[in-house]
Amino acid sequence: MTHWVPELLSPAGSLEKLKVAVSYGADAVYLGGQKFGLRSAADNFTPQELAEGVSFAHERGSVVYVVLNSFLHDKDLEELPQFLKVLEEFKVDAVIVSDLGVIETIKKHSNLVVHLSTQASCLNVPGAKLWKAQGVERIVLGREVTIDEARRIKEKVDIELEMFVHGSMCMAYSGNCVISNYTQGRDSNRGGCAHSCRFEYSLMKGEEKKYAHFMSSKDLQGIRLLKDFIDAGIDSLKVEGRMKSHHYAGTISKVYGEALAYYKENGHFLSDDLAFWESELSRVSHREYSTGSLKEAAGEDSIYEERQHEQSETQVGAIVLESKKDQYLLAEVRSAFEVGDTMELMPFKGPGLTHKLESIVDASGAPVRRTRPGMLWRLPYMKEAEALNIIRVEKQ
Amino acid sequence: MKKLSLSLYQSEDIAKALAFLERGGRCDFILGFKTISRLFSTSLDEMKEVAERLKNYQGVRLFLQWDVLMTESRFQSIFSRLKQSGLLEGELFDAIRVQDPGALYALKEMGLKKKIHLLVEQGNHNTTGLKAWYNFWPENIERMVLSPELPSGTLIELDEELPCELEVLGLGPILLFYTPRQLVSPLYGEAQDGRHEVFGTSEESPHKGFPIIENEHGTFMLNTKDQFLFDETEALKRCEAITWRLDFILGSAKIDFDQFVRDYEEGGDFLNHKSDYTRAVTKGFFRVNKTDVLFKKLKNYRLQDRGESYLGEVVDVKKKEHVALLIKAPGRTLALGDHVKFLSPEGREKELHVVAMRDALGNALTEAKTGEIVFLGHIGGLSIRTMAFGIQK
Repeated sequence: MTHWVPELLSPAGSLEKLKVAVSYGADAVYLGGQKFGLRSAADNFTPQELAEGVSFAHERGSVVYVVLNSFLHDKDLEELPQFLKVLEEFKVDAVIVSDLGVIETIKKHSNLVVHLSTQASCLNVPGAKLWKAQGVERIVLGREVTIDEARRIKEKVDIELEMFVHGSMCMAYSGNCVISNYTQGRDSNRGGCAHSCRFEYSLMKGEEKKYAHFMSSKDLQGIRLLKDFIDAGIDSLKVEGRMKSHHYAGTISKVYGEALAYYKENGHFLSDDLAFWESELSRVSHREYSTGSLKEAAGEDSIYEERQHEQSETQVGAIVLESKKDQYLLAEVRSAFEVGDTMELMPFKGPGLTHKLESIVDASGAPVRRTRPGMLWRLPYMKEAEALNIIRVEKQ
Repeated sequence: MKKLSLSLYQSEDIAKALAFLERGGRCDFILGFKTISRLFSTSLDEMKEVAERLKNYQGVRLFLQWDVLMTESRFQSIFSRLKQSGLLEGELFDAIRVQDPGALYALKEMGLKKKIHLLVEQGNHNTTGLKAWYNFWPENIERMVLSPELPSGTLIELDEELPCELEVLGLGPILLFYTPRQLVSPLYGEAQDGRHEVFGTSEESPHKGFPIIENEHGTFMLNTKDQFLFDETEALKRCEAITWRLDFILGSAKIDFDQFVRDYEEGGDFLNHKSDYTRAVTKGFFRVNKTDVLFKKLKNYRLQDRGESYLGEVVDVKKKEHVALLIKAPGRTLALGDHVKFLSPEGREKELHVVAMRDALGNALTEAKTGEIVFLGHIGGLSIRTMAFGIQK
């Protein structure tokens, strides 16, 4: 007997990250084309990459959602119908939208399934009813909604619900922040967010001045709340982070994927497993974690008051680019490491393979003491290794 | 002459409004109370009292601002209190102003008879979407409160396209940020009156002194400059559906309201009022909105332009030894005799006739398939992430 679990939806900032996320266990990925999404600085997908990405995902039983969640002006909207045709042709599984004008345009020009983006800040039962009446089939709830509130929405509205389970969080109600628009001339709701909420500010009250990163939110991490999501019937658990690394896409997909697969098989979680998964999540780059508003409205302890940079307990050392059977592996070095450090290859399934680096050679076989980012590293063949596997490195 | 709607946040402004009415002036007023309104600090009873006094003057219309966003628990609690207040019935208010789509839906579902002013100030920038919002409840939506990010050209078009009143912020602070989290009290402790007002400045931004307000609904950041469009009224002269809103969120209006309205009605000079205004002012995006033009600088578009001939990407370069090419395009092969064009991230172009290639162990190859890395002779000027394309010669 298997038990019902939600879909795991991972970010795919590029074609390679899509392949990494799907290979490590994502049931679904979301990505952006060259326009209409909210990450203008991400690589995003060309039409050729989109076709390849959808094909790659579908062949492995995963689905692909495309973000069209910018708030569009009239001139942007004119260009949309042509892109919708491309998405239909490539058999994209759904589009994620926040603007009612975009929904209307989709309904007029395509048969694409529409998911409502968290940008629309849908927060309550009547809000969900309204969006359902507009033809939306799934709602990505606002990050302010607790799991218990989501359960109540699910009970009262016959619609799919998606919630964020992991990643960076906007401090503002999504779609209700235009700081970048007025201070940097970049429309945050058309992909130009400058992350002004992560800055340090001096705050003056009368004559009293205090310095703080007062608007910066801790990152979300909901591994210990998976049972609550399942019990509430939340259809999809979303991981934020299209701008983040291969290491992030792979690790998060693997950890949450393994956790959900375990529950599907067994109908419960073991505390030792949860502790292990939690420790794995702490190894990817992140700000301090919190559960945001998943249990109750986010309070003072959800503010990330420290420095802006993210923490990571483990560096991603390299990504396997080629596995030549019985001969060698070639991996692209992402961060420098050296002889004496310990590498851990993360296979797509199962535990990591660890060993100490007693020698390192470059692509042509020349020994090096220390690698540099970007170089190709030749390793002995390992049968568990495949292209796009992540190699983590612990410094000695 | 366009109508004016004035938000009455401060008791001082309420007194000025009453004096203005007493002298025969007329305009519409926006009222709210702290349970349902983001930035109004009056209680329900205080607001009712003011509303009743204002309503005594013939021709005055009153609008109730219900603009907080609410997760399910708060929504149920607030909606229940609002229904109990009696404000949704009766004659006191002429329209209810809402932003949360849940509030809009709930009011329609309960069969509200009053008019609706729909706050679509956040992110509703296209005619198609605005028409769809209107069509959700055309019998009741009397007015749409438009985004301050819309330039005058768009406002003129919307005036022609939309069958309802439109409202634009003519004078007042521009809201930049709204969170339900209390961000100031962790630094300054709980405010005695439940409201903090501070000014924030970051060295990473050239703008100094963002007003920041925290109250029971969360934290709000306002722009350093307020919107002032009254010297631009000519641009919208023909737009009969447009109403101007005046907001005095940050302390009482220091301008002479009587004189202001008189100048407005008589087409007077607004420069005096502008210089009397106590905060710096801006026209915002009224003349033009180019907030998407910087996007093309955010990434290297040379690396985006892949076509049918795309082969793969250079993944290693070792001077005098090799260029390693990963074949990435699905279903493509590279064979001896092929011609390849390279395009580096810096824009350098190189061509190569492939006469030899090998694998990482130095074994000669005649062909490489998708997913394989081939080693070609070194080519100067190429770097990692250079793209490779198959070309016909």
